[in-house]
Amino acid sequence: MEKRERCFVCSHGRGHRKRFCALSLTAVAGLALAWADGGQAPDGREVLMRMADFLSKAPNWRVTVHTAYDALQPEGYKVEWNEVRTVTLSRPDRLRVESQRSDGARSLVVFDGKKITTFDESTQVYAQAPRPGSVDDAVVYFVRDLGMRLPLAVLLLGRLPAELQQRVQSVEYVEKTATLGAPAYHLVGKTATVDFQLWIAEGDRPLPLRAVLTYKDSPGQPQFRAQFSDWNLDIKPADSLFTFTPPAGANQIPFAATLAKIAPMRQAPAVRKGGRQ
Amino acid sequence: MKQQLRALSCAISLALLFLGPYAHARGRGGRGFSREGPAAGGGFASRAEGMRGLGERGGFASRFEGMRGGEAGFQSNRQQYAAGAQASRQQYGAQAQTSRQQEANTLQSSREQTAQRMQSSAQQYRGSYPYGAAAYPAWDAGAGVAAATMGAAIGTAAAASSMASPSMASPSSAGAGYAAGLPCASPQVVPVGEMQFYRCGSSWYRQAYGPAGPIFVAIRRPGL
Repeated sequence: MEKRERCFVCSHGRGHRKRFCALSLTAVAGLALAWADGGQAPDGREVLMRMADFLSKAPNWRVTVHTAYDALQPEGYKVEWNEVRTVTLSRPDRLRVESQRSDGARSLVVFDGKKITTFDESTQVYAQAPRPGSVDDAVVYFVRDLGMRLPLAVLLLGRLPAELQQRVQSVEYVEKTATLGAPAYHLVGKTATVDFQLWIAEGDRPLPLRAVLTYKDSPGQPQFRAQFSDWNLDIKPADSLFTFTPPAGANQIPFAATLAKIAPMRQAPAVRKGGRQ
Repeated sequence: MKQQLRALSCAISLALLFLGPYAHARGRGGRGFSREGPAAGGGFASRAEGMRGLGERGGFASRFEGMRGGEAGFQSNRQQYAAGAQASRQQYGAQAQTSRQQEANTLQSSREQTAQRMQSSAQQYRGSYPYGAAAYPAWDAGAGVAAATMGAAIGTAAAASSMASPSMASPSSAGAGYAAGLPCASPQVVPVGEMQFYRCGSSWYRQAYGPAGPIFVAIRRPGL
């Protein structure tokens, strides 16, 4: 019995033995590959931080960003708005963001190291605020203090790694994909209020290629989506690119956040009748 | 000749038919669909986070008072952020620790090493975080929805061209204090120095740059 079992493979001749060996080798190789693949799956946080480090240290870059975001309407519609932006950054203190909305409206944000300016082409008005310092200072001032919109502003900062370390509660590697024109790592993560997905290029230039942000605590869980293209880290932008010269006839207006505003004035206050006024 | 004229007039009519609605819709979001919302800002944090964090410290109102009050207000605002975000950081630190322990229980030792590496990396980054807690939570939370909180902003600049239309938009569709245009058909334009003010009855307005473009803001009478 023992002999028969031992000789089961042998007893079927050389051809069978070869086939058995080949099958075994294939199985072993398959298992090894699967194990190796699992073992080499990158750590999501490491991929994220590599991107943050790389981007924050890149001295000059330009990228085109196609963005889309959901805006939930009172009637229940969820409308997607689209924009295209060209971002040019030169550290430590130069930034230019050209934007075009899906309805054609164009605007500009320029920081020259001393002041930050935003210009609306359709109405030919601009607002300007002094802000000597770095891009980091100007961006935070622009968004937080002036209440202005600058999507994905955090990616512009030199302290991007610290920002992500502060905010990201968890991040996981999902898969490697080649659907974005270059091999990329797909990550999924969470901050306190935003779930995000990022696709980061594989290789020695770990740049973001796509981002999806989900505002999970907001009604309808709207998303902000961005597709990055034409990354160029070899630019040498002229200073004039970051200088804003108002077009003839353009009017300067203040930032709304700096105005001394008053309470909403939908209706004139009711005139009190009787008594002293 | 007549045929040519007829064809030309047909072409012009068709062009007007197609371009008319586009010109009308430009900058106004079609029939008035709102472009605002939590996702508009594209921030890695949303207003809910900022509100939660500030609410715990009772600081939400002061944030916007800070915006009105200029630099002094900003300074006090930053101090409040700093005070509150300390607790927030501790909370997140505790959460991260729990998470790391769970991971360590289920994953191999290599994972533990990774976690340790990340921890030291986090400390390294935090150590070089110049703004400390001041910029956290959520300096970029709420950009793009701020217009809705600016109660006195009453219309977009795009609507300025339609000042003749005094129709008020539904407050719910455009945010508190918003209207499709200035609330009067023919505002009086009052130049004061290099600035222009708009007057509707006893109310005064000024064009200003809001979160996503030019808007009109109700203000006190110039000189007050």
